[in-house]
Amino acid sequence: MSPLPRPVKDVLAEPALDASVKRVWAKVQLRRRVPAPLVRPSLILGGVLALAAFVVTVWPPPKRVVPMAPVEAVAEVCAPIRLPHPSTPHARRPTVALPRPAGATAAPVEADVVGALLMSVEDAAREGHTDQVVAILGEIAAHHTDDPRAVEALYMLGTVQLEVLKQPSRAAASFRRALELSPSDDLVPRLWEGYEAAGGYGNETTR
Amino acid sequence: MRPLATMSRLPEGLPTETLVRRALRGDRDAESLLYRRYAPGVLSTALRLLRSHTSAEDVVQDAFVIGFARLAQLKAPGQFRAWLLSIVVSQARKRLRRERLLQWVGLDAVADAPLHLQAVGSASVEARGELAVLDAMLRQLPVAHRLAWTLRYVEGEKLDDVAAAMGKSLATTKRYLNAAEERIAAHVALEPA
Repeated sequence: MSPLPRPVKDVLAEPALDASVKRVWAKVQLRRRVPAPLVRPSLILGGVLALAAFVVTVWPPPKRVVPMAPVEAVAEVCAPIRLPHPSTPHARRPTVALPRPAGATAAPVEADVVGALLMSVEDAAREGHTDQVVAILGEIAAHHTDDPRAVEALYMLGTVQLEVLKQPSRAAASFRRALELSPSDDLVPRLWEGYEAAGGYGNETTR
Repeated sequence: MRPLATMSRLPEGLPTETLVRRALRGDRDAESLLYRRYAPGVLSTALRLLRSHTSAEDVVQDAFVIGFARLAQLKAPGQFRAWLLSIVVSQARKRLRRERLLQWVGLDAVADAPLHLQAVGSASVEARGELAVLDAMLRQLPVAHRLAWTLRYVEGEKLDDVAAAMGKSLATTKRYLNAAEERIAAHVALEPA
C-alpha cells in the first residue's frame, strides 16, 4: 500500500466551487453596502463605565421603611399562585380576600390572582419552563374566564402551543375560546390570524 | 448588484499591488477583480480546513468583508493572498472552536466534505481509507494543531507562510506541527515529511 503524498492535496480533487464563489460574492457585496453600526464597542464600553460610575456614586437610593404584612396574610394570598400538581384535577379557586385586621373599617382588599399568575407565567417563560407556562395559562383559561385578561392568557397559550409546542389543533381550540370570550376589537384580528394559522375550524382538540 | 461574470471592467492581468491600491481608493472594480482572483483558492483551502461547504462559504465571506474593510492595514500590497489567508485561518479557528463547544454538548457540526469524499476519482480504496482515518485524526486534534498541520501538509504551504497565517512564531508553529505529526503518523501511512 502506498502512503499518502505530501501535500495530501495531490490526491484530492479540486472542488467545483463556481456556484459558491458567486454566492459568496453576492453576500460580500450585500454586506459591504450595509453601513457600519453606529454603536461601536468603544461607545458600549463608555456606557458601561458611566453606568458603573452612577451605580457606585448614586446607587442605592435611601431605603424607605415599609411596614411588613403578617406572614399568615402573605401566605394566604400567595397560596392560589402555587401551581397545581399535574396529577390533581384543576379546582376552581375563588378570589382570595386579605383578612381584615382587627378594628379595621375599610373593605377587604381583593388579591389579584390573575395578575399574580401572569407574573408567574413571565418568570416561567424567562426560565424556559414551557410546561409551567402552559399549565399556568391553562389555569387562568379554565378558572378565571370572568377576568378580562383571560383572553390575553388564551392568546398567549395558543401562540405557545402553535409556535413552541407545534400543537396546532390545541392552539386552534385556545384561539377559538379566546374569540368566544368577546375580546376587545384590537385583539380579534390577531386571534383570528392565530386561529387560521393553527388550522382553524375542524382542527380543534381541547386535549 | 453586479453579477460576477461582468463585475470588473479592469484588465485581468493587473498586478495585485495595483488592485489593492485602487481598492484602497474605493475602486469597486479592483475589489471585484481581487475577489475573482483569490476567492476560488481560499474557498478550496477553507473547505479542506473545515470539511463543510456552508462553513467554508461563511468563513470566506467574513474574510473578504473584513479584508476589504481593513485593507489599509495591509502593509505589503503584494502579500494580499497571505494576508487574506491569515484572516481565513483566524475565522476558521473561531468556527472550529465553536463547533468543538457544540460537540461537547452533543451537537455535531455537519461535515459534508470530509477528506475521503474529496479524493480524486482515480484514488485507490486504500488511499480513501487512509484519508478517512486522517480526517478522523485531524478532528481529534486541538484546533491550532489541526489548522497548522492542514495548512502545511494538506495544502502544502511553506512553513513561514503557515506561521504567518496562524499569526504565530516559527517556533510555536513547529511545535504545533510536531505535536500533530506525532499523533497522525501513528495511525496514517504518510510519505516522510
